[in-house]
Amino acid sequence: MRRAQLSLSAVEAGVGVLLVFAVTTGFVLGSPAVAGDAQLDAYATDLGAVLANDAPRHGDATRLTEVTRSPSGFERESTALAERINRVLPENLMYRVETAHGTIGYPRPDGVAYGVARHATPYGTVTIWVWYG
Amino acid sequence: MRAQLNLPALGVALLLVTAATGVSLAVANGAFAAAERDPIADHAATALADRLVAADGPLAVRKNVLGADAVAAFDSPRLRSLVGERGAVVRLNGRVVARAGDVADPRTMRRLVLVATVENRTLTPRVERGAAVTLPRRTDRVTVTLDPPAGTVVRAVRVNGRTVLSNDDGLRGTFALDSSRVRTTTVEFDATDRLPAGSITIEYAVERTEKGVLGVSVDA
Repeated sequence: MRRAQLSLSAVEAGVGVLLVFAVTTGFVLGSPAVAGDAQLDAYATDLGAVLANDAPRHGDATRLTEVTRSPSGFERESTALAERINRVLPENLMYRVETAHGTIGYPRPDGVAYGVARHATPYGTVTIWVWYG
Repeated sequence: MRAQLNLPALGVALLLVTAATGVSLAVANGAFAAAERDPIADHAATALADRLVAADGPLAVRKNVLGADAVAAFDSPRLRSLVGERGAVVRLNGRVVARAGDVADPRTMRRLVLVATVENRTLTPRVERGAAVTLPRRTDRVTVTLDPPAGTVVRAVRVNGRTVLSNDDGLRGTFALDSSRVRTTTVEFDATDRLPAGSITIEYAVERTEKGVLGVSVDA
């Protein structure tokens, strides 16, 4: 008999707390995310546009198509591409460039705002991430 | 006995619900504060920056490549015509390019650009029969002037194997040739004899680019 005596108000309170947190979750998840910084997105897009403008060091159309064409092309050109990105990006930015044949740049940390841009080349998509380092 | 136990239980329950409500309000408030921006002012800066780096914009030669001449010619009235009523400043690498009005509360957008300087170069090659001339730089602007010596007829001009000029009676004069910025250009001349220096003049534009940061500030 004593087992059944859990106070009704405690049960109501539990349900009430759950309800209140459910509403809060709606606010937190429903409001627009802070991520997707317009400035960082612009940096990432611009970096793609600038690299796509560069003449290649060997054959091919541009520097970006040169690294996306083949694994050997990536091996050969990735260091030069990293140097070029370092020169073009402002000092306060870090980057990561992903191609089908490998990645260039730094590992992405958690919990920071990113700018992302995807750049199409004839041999595949290049994804560029940029964040404040 | 049971009824009296209920009073502290009710107190604890009320405390729990109140605490939960308080925490929730703080979280929701934080979420709203983070989402609150001044979208119109931000958008004015973003849109102006987008316009300036766009391929068909007032400064750009191609997407994100600004012409050095266009940047030099960009002034307050032209900036005013783009930005409307608001005050705005456009900077390139921190140096003011154009200013329109006052910018008291700036919303700034920075874009990575290349600044291109174009320089015309001239080649006056001697061309043996069947030989080709390869331009040392890639370019999309090539002009060829044909002035062959008397008795020599230039029947056709080919760019990368593709015939672009053809006249069986002989070509003479200045012609613009189609070429690509992403390919090396080789020009071949189909002539009846060797062409001495001076009978062919090839002019081509060479572009040199420098990196830069375009800062666009618009008053809120």
